[in-house]
Amino acid sequence: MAMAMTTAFEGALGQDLAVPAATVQTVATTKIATRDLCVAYGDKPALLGIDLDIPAHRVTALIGPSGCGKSTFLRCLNRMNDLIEGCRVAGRITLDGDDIHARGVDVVALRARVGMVFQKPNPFPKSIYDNVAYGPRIHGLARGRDETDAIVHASLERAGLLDEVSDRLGAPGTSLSGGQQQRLCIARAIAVAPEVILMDEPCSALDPIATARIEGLIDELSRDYTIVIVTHSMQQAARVSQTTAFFHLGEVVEAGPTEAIFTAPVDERTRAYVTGRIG
Amino acid sequence: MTDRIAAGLARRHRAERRFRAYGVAALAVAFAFMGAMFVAIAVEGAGGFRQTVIGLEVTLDPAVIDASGGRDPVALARADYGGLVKRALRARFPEVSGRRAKRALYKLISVGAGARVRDRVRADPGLIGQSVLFWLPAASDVDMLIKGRVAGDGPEDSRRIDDRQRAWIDALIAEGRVETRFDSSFFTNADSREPELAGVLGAVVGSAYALAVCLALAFPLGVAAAIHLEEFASRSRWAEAVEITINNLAAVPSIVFGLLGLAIFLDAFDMPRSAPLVGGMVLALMTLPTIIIAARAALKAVPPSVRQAALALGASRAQAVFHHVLPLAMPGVLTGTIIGMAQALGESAPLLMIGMVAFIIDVPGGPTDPATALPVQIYLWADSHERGFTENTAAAIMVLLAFLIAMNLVAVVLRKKFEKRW
Amino acid sequence: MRGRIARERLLVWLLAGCSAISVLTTIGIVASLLVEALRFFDAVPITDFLFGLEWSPQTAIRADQVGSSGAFGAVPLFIGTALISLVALTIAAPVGLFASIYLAEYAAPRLRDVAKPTLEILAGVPTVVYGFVAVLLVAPLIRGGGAALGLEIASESALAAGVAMGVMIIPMVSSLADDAIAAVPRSLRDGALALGATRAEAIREVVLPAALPGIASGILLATSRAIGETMIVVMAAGFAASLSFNPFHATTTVTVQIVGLLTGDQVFDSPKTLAAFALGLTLFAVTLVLNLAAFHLVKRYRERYD
Repeated sequence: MAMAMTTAFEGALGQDLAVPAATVQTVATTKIATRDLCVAYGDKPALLGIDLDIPAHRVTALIGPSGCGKSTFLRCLNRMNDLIEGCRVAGRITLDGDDIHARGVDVVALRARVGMVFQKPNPFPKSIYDNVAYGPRIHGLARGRDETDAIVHASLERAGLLDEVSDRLGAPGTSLSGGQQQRLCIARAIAVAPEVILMDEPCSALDPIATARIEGLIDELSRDYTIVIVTHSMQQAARVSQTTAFFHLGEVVEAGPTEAIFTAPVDERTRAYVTGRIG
Repeated sequence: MTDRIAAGLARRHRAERRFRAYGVAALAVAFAFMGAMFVAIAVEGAGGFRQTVIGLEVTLDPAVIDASGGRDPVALARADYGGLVKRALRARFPEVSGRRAKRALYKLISVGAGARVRDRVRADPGLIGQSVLFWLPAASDVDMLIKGRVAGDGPEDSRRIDDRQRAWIDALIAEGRVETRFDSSFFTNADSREPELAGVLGAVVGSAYALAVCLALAFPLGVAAAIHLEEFASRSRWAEAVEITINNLAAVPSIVFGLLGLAIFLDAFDMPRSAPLVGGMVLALMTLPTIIIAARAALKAVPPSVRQAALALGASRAQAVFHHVLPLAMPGVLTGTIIGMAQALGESAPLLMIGMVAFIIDVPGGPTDPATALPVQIYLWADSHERGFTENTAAAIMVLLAFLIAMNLVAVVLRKKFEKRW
Repeated sequence: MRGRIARERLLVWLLAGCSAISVLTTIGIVASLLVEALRFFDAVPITDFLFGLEWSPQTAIRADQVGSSGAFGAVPLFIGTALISLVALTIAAPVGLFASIYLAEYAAPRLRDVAKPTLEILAGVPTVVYGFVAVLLVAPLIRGGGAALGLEIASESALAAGVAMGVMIIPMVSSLADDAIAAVPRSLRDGALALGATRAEAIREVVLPAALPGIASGILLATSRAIGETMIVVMAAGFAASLSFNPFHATTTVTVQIVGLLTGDQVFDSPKTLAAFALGLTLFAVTLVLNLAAFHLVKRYRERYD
């Protein structure tokens, strides 16, 4: 049953889910690039000229002390900062080379391509099924009951949640545990077939076991999606990411392969942070 | 995939714009109604604060005022000043003869004019014997005519002012003896049978007493009940039962409270009818749910972390509530109380039931004296057929609204200042 | 230490006593209404009252003529009340709901800061003012408008009273709806918008369903308010009971009759005055049902947002 669903999902997405391991090693293309990105809330600057490349099909971790702009940066990538009063964004952000702030860009369509999972799980006050089906429905990706069923099941499966909830898809999304709710939110994000998934400290509200499960999930998901994850935990960044960027006081101090950042940081501030002397 | 999405975008954005437009339209409708309402009241009510006065030379004949010559205050107060006014009218229009014609002449001046003369004489007895120019209030029919509220033309039978009276008025106007002035007596007089003499003071004082009683009863009881329900008994069966009764009471029609007041306070307890005390008690019962609900909401809005922090530091439940939670909740409590009081000020139905609907000409001296309340006064005047009372009604409404706007503004400022998103 | 515990316990009992007052009040209301209404039903059978189609309350001239000359069938009153309330809701529900949605979700903060208190002022306007405006402004306008369309609309029409009443309860709906909408956490909106929903889609499908118990409860309470309203109908609606459901005709309501029966000089125990209590009991019962329904709705669908 699950196989059939997954195949249906594959067909709907036009993607091949069974990726051979070898291709993971190939050179990554840049999915998202920012050039001189500056953000200010009113007259308080938050980001001061960020140049960063996010590689496709990889997990990029954003680390750094609290309040130095990681979440702000993340929210720029799907233009969620547009919703914040008094927030001004300058600079260039490209998705697959196209400027996301260009005139003809429809924010609604952008956010279908760049999904987001929040720090605190925020399932809608609907059933589990309707939570996942919401995105596909509004975007017109699922016509009719069968297509919707297929997408919901496949998304829940991919998020590692289907086994636990398959018998109670009609139960409210809020009746799940914290870890399950977060996986529900991931399933919800996957259901619209995004290309990028942004995760803002997705495990900070969860216990270690739930955290471990989601970290495993992130690893699997990176085969098909580009993932950018903000995390406070350096161990988590080390475990799940291939690229890491270190933010400090609104700037990217250093960015590069995760191993390099943690074992041989170039900048003194990076070294201080990863060895625990600051932050 | 993105093609499918792109195909639906235009339709979705159109739906978005429509949805937004409905919202604007709804606001526009609400504000249009409101604007029309206030404009109508203001137009009608502006006249209520102004009074047409007629200038007359009144001879202060000592033989009438102070026969004994001793300037005795009692005699001064009792003299027939109305007669003096009539004499002044006859002096101005000496050609008028015959009982009917004279009565028509006297009808131009308000019956309360004598009181104005009297007050002046009592304040300054040295005027006795002189001929003084008094600006006396015109009768309501004249007042309405001058203000343009009634038609001056048309068949004589359907007019309150006949041609003869019209001629006299025109003569006075030609002499510059007719003016319309701002008249503060609207604020200082109590009710009267004559529209030009009627004022809101009695009703305002009655309302003030009733509200004071209401506040004194409802605020402490309400806040105490809210604290008990929210902090000490929350989620118990008792709290659930009480919550149901409170929510129900908040939605019980006000007239039912009036029936309750009638049956219990007036009949069973035999309390004085028409008294602000009883009115205040009935209003307190009505306002209690509002205060309790608002206070509970304010208490509930304080995050549990505040209570937990206090308790973790060793405070008792009561200390945590009174020292930490209640102060944080106080703005919300006060806002709710002010709004509750404003609602109570505007209530009239229950007061009708307990008898505060009588015609009271004295300003009440205490909460047990018979009185009326401002909204009831408005209702009584609105019910009257005399054109002059329509003006008074609108003017009284403006006074009432002024109080209410002030109270609501205070509540809003309070709320804005302390509004937090936890 | 002991003394403080004892004092605290006393304090809690005092507070509990205060919270009992509301229960006492409810009991008082029910008791007083019931006692008087039962005396009424001694003279006039309850079935005649609830299902009778003719309302012309006459009082006996002689004490032994009890009930025989009057008709106390309240159905025309129920119809009149329902008609006017329906007109009121037809205006208040859509206007109030959309106004609150716009203010909560679309309006710039400055507009919201101005509009919200302004609407609340409207809520604070006493009903006697609405009654006056209904007679002064609304009724003539409706009558004139009707005449322009060739319709004969009474000056004490249900439409006039209903429109004034509807305007009165707009802010009730909008402020309760606004509270309900504002109570929906930002994270839910953000979640929907992050999925690529338009504002309207996020509101319609996520925010409104989350706020629905509050909104529905608000509408039920507004209905209850409309049914129990007195001053507007006393001043703007008529006194003659009829079975017609035509909004262009004059009609009377339960509350108007209660006022009519009790103001003026009445012998307290005559069937006429007792009828007022019977009407009051009915009114109380109906609003109780509506209110309990509103409360139950919120309870059943409330989600915890901690």
